Amino acid sequence: MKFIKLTFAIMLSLTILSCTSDDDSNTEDLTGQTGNLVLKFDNGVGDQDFIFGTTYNKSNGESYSLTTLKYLISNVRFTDENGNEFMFPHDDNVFIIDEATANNAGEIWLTLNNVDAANYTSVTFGIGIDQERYALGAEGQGDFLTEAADAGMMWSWATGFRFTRFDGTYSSATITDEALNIHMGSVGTSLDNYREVTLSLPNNARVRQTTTPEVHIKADIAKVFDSDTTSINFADGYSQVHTNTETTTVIANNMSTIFTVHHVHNE
Amino acid sequence: MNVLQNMNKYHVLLILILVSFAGNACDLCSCTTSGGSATFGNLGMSNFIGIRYIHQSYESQNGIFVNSPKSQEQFNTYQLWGFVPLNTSFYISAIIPYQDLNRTFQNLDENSNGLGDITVMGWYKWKVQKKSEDETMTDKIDSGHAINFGLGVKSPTGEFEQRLTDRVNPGFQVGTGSWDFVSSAMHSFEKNNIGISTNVSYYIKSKNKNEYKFGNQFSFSTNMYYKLNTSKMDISPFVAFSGDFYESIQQYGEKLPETDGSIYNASLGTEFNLRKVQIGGKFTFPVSQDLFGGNVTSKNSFSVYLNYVL
Repeated sequence: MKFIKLTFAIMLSLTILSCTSDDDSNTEDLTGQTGNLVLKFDNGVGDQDFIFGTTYNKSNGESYSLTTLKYLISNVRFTDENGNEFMFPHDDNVFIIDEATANNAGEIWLTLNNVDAANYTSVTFGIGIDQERYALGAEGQGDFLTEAADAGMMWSWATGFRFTRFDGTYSSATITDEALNIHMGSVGTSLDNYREVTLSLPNNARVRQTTTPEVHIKADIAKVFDSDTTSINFADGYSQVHTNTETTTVIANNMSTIFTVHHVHNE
Repeated sequence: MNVLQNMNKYHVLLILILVSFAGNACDLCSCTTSGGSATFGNLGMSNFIGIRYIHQSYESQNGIFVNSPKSQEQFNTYQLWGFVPLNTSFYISAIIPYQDLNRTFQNLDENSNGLGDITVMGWYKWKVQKKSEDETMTDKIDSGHAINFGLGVKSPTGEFEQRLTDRVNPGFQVGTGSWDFVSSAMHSFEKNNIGISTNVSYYIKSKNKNEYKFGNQFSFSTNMYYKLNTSKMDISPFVAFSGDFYESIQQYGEKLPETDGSIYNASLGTEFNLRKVQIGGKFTFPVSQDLFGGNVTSKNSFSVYLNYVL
């Protein structure tokens, strides 16, 4: 008799085991609702957090240490689970990611306001300034022109924006603490080094009026110099990268490989 | 005999009530600061009420890199606990915890405290009997083996704070905010002052109001003790080995990366029995672990308890 009761209890527990809650009815109406979204840029070198003044080794025996680490991000947009794209407003859609402004966790926060409420599955952004934006002329850049100039992210207007600014020193078996300056840009309209990346999100970023997702983007600075396909030698003309067609193109291509989304935190 | 049968009916009903609570849990919400592999009772699975203190400490990586800064977490849990018989076969166990959690990160202290999640379980004890070797006896005798089946719920009496989910250690919560369902089976054997008990438990965790669902958990523990009888008291030193396996945490129906994991612990302890008073202490250290993508490291923990034997 006891055994029957016991069996009964076990059967009941199995019933509960099979109880699932897939009541995710997609009836939530998000029309007209907006919210905020944070992009957290976190610069690292391999599995190490990037720190100014730390010496990092490259694949070819060279090493480097940086005192400035900045790059430009623009045309940030998101694709939701239904394939709809949300483009952040054009005039405000250009940013300087400056390691010197990172918080004590080493993250540079980009808070985007008035983002359409949706479940976003990927983020796309450009590295640098595209030709269309450059074609708007110096006046067409709004406040960003001054901001970029103040941050040292401009040459003359004719040459245009610096997309990256990595300043520091490098060393090798034969050289000690030589100047290292990686200033890559598009060089006016003659060379287009603007690149775009699309990163899929490991879990949805749920933008709502009341919830602000944080997309944690890891930028592996090691890949600027040692990408999966192209490694450079500082000693072979890559310690001073400015307007040279060949070297800036390689750095631009490598820059487009450094970003991954580590995780998304939904508040 | 008739009385006993009526009692049993009552207790089956009680289990049904517990079970139906758990059933509701599936549509409600979830998390747990478990005290490692939760132990529901004392060494010999005897009957008692008492108090228990558990101290756990963790180190968590606050960032995505190996050299990201670390935080230290100290979990202090004070429990009122008991294992109370309803009759010879049915028992109720309950744990009412008070949590006092501290976290230190870059010289900043953070504290969270309050009533934790109350767990109530119903147990069925099956004492395995065998034929007596004395052939003149017709009654069966105790074989020393006992099997316990437990079903229960963990209720969201502790507060779950959404803001704390941003922390690397998701266990830094006074409560999970969810109704969780626990099923457990335990085998115990005692002969010639040596006892062995083995427990397996499975925790089904539900979603809490914040759309946060802690991962289901499988735990096992086995411990072996030797009872020394002295004129004044029984002293039972014991060794234990346990494992806990966590599935990924889910939020909005999506699995969160690096939130699953496992840990194996070893424990050493002693229980003292002086007539009706029982005092126990246990020191636990991790043998191997991989919690939350390696971002959380469990350190040594200890617990002490003072029980009154019923």
